[in-house]
Amino acid sequence: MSSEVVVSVSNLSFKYKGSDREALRNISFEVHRGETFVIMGPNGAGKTTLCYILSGVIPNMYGGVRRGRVNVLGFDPWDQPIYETAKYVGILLQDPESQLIMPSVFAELAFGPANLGVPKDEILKRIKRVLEIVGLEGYDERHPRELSGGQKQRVALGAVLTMMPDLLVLDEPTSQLDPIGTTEVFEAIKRLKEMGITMIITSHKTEEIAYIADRVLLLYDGEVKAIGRPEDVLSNVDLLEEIGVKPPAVASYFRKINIGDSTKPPIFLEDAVKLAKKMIQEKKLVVKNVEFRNGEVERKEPIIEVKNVTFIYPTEPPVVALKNINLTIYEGEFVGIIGQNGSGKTTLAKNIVGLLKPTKGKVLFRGEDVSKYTVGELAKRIGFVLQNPDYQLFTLSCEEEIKFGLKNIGLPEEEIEARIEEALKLVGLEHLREKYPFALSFGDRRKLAVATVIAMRPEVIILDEPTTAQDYRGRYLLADLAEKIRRKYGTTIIMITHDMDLVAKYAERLIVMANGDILADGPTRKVFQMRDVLEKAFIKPPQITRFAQSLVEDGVNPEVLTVEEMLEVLSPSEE
Amino acid sequence: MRVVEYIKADTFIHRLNPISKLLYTLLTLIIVFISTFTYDIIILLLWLATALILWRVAKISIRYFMSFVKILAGIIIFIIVVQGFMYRGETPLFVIGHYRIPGGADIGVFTYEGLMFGVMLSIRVLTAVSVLPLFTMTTPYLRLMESLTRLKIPFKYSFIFVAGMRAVPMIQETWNTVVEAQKLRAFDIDRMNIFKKAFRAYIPILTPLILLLLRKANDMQIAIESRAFGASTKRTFLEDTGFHKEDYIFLAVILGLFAVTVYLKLFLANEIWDTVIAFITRLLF
Repeated sequence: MSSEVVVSVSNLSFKYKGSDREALRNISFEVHRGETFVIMGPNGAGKTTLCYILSGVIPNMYGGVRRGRVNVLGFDPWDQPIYETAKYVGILLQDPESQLIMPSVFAELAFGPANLGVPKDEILKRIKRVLEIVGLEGYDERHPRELSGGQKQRVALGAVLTMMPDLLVLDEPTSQLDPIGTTEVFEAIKRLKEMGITMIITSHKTEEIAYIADRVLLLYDGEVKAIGRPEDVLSNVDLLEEIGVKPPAVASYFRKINIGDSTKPPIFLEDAVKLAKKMIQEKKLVVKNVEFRNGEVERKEPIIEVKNVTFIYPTEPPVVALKNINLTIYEGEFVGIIGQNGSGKTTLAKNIVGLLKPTKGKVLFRGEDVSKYTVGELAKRIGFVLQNPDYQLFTLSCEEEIKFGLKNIGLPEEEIEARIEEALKLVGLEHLREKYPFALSFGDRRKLAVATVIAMRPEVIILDEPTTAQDYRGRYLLADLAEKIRRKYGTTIIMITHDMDLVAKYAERLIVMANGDILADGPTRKVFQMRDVLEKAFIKPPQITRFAQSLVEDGVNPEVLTVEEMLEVLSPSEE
Repeated sequence: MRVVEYIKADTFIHRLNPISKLLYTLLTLIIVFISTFTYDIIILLLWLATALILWRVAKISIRYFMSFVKILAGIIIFIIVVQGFMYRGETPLFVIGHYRIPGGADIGVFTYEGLMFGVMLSIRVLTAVSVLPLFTMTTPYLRLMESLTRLKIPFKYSFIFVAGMRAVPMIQETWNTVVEAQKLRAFDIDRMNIFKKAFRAYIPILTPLILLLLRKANDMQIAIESRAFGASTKRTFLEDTGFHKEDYIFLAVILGLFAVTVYLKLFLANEIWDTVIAFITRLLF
């Protein structure tokens, strides 16, 4: 690797206009040519702000006060219009949808270089090359609407690449994608790394990003907490936990068994397996014979029954989203539903809450056909928490927000007051009841959205993708709340998610969907052992489960779901 | 609507410069505009036939035309029925009663003249609609944008138009999600009466919608500006924006047809129409 410095930042501080808090404080680092530099940190740490400063979005679009020095390839993006910076810095954002502006892939990829006046032949050459890199050969004439999320994000990446930037800034490029889309985008990033492109990437996906990072910077509350090789930074489990970045599961495991201060916990699965095998041989680790409970609650009454449900979207051509689904959910269960986008998870949920009516078959709620009820009537009994709270919040105070639904179902005033009180307390927002919902943090807005649902006292709560665009701590927020409510009221919880760690931690029962079909349905730890089913659905079990699975020959029970369970089956020998 | 979107192919029509096609569309609309008498059916049919021949040349399936007819069927029947009864015709075809409106026709009588006038109006609609896919299904946006730039229309303006088109499905999707989100809170806008809707109901939907769209618009702006939109350099043209032999041939034919049509309209259409009708009547009876 050459040592040419591409980005040099020293003592950078930044405060947004109208804010009294510094978003960045005394940041210093350098990025060298060809390096993949990863910035990690919880939401609100300043990652996006840093990306915006490096690409000139700040101050051209968002104003503020800056101190310190920034040098990107000999220029300071602060001093020039974005289109000048754009000649050598490309930026990719989270949301693939809003970044595609042209009506075909070809026009999208040509947009940047054509703006710069690059000759036509050269543009055509670049487009051909870039389509290869992002793996979309032959997609030239496609309309963005015909593409999946992962494909869209790769087009957006390609559109930046055709400008041949010297530096690529990728701001959480996979946070809104499903596992397939994430893999596709990471594949493209790996190819760019091999080509020697300098990249700055922000991400929450520790386990995946560890493989491509050359160096990692930990950002917390606007300050640099650590900077160095991934093996050094990401193995610092205590620091990661403290600032709210997910440590690799295997690193957490080895941190807990205390392998001596001189050795760092491994961050890669392969290294962890090697180390574990060695330690088993040396009798430092002992395999214990533990049988796990299957987590099957004694099944009480069926609460939701889906009977022979087929659902076809009446588009042109029609899309069969559910194929003859049969499913019974019992009272008090915590069920996880996993599968790629387009596998039918959300369609199934919408059929259950009455937003969609089955094309064939029926859905029963406590034995009664849900088509008898309106969506509103059903909402009293089956609550649905959306991915993004901003699709529903609109009032001037948290109280009002909760009141809205209760008024719609026609409750008396004193009952409404009591329920608002209770719901705010449950989610921990009592102190903010008068606050304007949009002034709350994203996490608090989501809590408020949950409060609006639980105030209706539903018997079932459905969580739709409770982790999208969330950091390590935020991911567990909604599931934690749901679990709390379940314990208190016996509410049935259905959770739709891409997050396997979340499923492993909370769901007792797991349903795997693909192409409108249910591929597997059973206790979570059993389902994670069904390799061929998971492969078909492009799903990987949590890292800690894969760790246990790799040690089956050594007698380790592979049905492990959490680091704590791993410690039970493979613990340090007591000497 | 999907039906009218660009489909890649290499036909005579696809090769034409978008400006030639725009001119043809414009001429057709002029013809539609000036055809106001029943006997103008003759010239409308001439241009409808031309459009359909060009459909064949452009290899656009006639199935699409049928789907247009299907969509418009309701309107066409409505026009014919209304005109049949309302038009002050002299030849009654059938009678359902006598309701004479003061100073007007007897609207209980369905007349032959009314029927024909209704048919003419329907063909007008169909002719106007038939040129639309000929343009949109054979012209990539980028080529249109760049051709318009040649006509000294700034790229910025055509870009705003195209970016707006891209935003429409996004807005629609956001709207649908917000409506669903509020339905899940027992707020059912479909069940409200129109007054409630107008005064109260849209607030819970419009507030989140506008805030969400503002955020997306910010992202969009970053995506646009960080790709050097607005750079002072001269933009590269990627599509063929020149006029070729095909364009000259096409324009000559279309302008010729236009001239002939105007002559027909002014001097002969009325006579031809009467002859044709007389001929058909003799054949039938």
